[in-house]
Amino acid sequence: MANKGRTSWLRRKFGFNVLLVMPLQVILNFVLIVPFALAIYLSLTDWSPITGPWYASPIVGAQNYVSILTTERFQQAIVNTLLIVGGAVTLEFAVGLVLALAFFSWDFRGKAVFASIFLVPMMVIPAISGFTFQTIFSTQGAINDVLSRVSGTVVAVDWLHVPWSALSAVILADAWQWTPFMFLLMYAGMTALPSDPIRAARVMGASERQIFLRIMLPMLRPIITIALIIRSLEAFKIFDVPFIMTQGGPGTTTETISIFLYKFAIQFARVAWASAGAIVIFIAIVIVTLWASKPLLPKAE
Amino acid sequence: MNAVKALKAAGKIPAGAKIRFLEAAFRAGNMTPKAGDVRTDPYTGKTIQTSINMLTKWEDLTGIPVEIDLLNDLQLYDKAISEATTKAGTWDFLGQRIDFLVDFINSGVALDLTDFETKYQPDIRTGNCQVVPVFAQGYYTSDGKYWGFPGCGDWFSYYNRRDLVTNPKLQSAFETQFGYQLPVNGPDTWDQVLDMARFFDGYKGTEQTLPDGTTSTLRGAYFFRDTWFSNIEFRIRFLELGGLLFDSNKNVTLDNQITRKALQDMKALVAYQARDAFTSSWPTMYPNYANKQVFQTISWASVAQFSASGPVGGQGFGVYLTPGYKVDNKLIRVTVLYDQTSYIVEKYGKLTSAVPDVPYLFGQWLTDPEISTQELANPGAISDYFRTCHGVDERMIGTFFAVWPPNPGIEPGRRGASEAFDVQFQALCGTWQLAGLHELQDLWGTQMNAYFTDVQDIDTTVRKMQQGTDGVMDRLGRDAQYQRWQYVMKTFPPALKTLHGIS
Repeated sequence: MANKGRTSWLRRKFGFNVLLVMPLQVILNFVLIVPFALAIYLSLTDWSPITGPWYASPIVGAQNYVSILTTERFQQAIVNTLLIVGGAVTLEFAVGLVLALAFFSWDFRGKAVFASIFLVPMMVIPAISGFTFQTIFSTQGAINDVLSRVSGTVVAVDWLHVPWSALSAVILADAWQWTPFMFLLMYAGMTALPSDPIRAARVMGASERQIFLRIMLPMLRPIITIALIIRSLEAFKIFDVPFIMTQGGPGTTTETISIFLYKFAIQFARVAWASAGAIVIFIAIVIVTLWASKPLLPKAE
Repeated sequence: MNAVKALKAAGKIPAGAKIRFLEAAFRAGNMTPKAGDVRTDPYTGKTIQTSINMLTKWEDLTGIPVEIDLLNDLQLYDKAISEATTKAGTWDFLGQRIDFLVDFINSGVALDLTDFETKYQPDIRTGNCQVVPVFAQGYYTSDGKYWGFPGCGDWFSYYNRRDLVTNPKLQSAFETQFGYQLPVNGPDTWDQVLDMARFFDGYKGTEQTLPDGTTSTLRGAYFFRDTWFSNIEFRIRFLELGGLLFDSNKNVTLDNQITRKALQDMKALVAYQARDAFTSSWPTMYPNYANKQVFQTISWASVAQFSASGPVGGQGFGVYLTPGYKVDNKLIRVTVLYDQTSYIVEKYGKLTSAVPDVPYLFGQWLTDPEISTQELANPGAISDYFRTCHGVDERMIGTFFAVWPPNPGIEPGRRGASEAFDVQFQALCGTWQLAGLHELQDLWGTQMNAYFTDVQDIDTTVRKMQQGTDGVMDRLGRDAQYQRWQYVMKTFPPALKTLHGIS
């Protein structure tokens, strides 16, 4: 009784619960809100480190936003990124799901060892995987070497300087690295499924295909949605792999949004302009994520 | 050195003072020098100690240590600028690309050294081994002020297979096909370069069996088509064709027939290029050339030494001058200075803020002809051939030029390549000192790359180059950029000056 009275007193007098979360909020505000607010402010100025101090830079309003949205190269970077996200995430999901299904339905010796081996690509630093794939696809790389040995003549296809093959190579590199992630989530999802509906369906004569399509897949839907959202968000930020493999080339056909923003904000010191681009992308991602995760959110009564 | 000692004696140097030096390392990782490293000089092929040893020497002489960090020259640009603009005081002395000098000046990173020049009268400006004016323009002067010291500098020369061009059977076949004699001492024009690439590409009888058992035919050329080298070749061709970046009304003049011609001619060579010319650079080209897999290439001088012990050998090695274009029946050759490094003193460095004389005097000592000759042609260090004495100073000839194999025709004397360099000097054009050149190079290189790989057509390419360049000029001050371009034009070689009526 005495304790209850004391707690109420604390709540009433000092907002004790608020006090407890305050330090974390302050830190969060500083690492999240302050830089974000600064980015918004800078995006409304004309600032570049090569033209003087940021606080002396004139406000130009929405000029940077209009400019970057009408810049052809920025638009192409968005398209390139979407192509990579679409291609890589689809491939990762398809292969990951098939692998998970194979692991789930097929018992064999050494399963745990194979599962561990599958996870290795995920542990590789993206820069290293980018470099590895760059080597594989270079004119003197493994692919041309195999083709040379098979054909008996020197094959020197410049895979990374043909738009479609360069983009495909980037997609493959990303898929190689992140398919294990999909596999892991799908497999975890499958093992967590209740066994009764599956068993019941089997008893009632359903084929394995029907069981998968009509029972397992609908029950896996939430985890599939989460996996696709997480991977898409990650893939949307892809930088290391295409930067190392192609530097965004040929031309700008594999230049992603991250490479574009890095080049203009950091390399060419157009900080204000690139900040506008980053904010546009941020807003777009928030909208898409909210829309995609809508089915997972609890519905109002 | 005496000046440092005097400052010390006067108690002007704080206790524990040290120079923080951020050095631009070459893009090729294996060329990044580290203290104590022993590596091969790309020019002479000789084993050398890296420039870091010079820093130890400085410390021994002055008692002031130098802390050095090495960074890719592109990364150094944004790191140094962002750290300096926040006045972090991280660096006192920077090695930076000459192409970025204006940005370092405009951002307030570089300390104006003009007064120090007057005060200390360095040998590189006044002695027998002064820096050739065209190098000084690009390396450390701007708007009539001094901003630094010469670092590592270079331009490129052209190489072909002399054993093939001196073969009478091939000479005869070439003349039959093209109606003129095979240029034994190297092509004078880019049209001849293209003809020779076409003629030698896949020429029957030049097949090579490689160690893995596959066969390779000779490719006509290996002129890199990556962003960096594409910019070099474009600038050369653009200027030789009579191109100017601005007209007299300060309009950018890239969307024109000159740019189209330069790019179309560059693309015409692509069909005869080794395929990896797009993705590789000289470390891949060297073995290609040395193993007789390419007929001609652009390179640093070290390709000679590299090739000498390979299948090409001394007799197979040929060097020729930068090819030109004929404008009004006159041959115009232009050699561009491109992308090497110079040293600047950073305004907000800790030591600079206390005693700016010390980092200045360090730069003066490091680039003094007597000192820097010890580090001649050192990767990531100082190259001394841009001195007025380069062709007569026996030390320089001995250490740099004598390693070039003889190539009768353009190198008649003992000094061989030294004389070829003298001819190249006549065609030398200063650095394109413009603000935002980093961005412009990426813009031009990316658009060229898209054109060469058939991603876009010539009209789109030229239009985007023009629009992007206009954007940079407007943003960074068209009037100031125009004035800088006028300054560049003053460094044009005589033939170009005559063409444009520049006195």
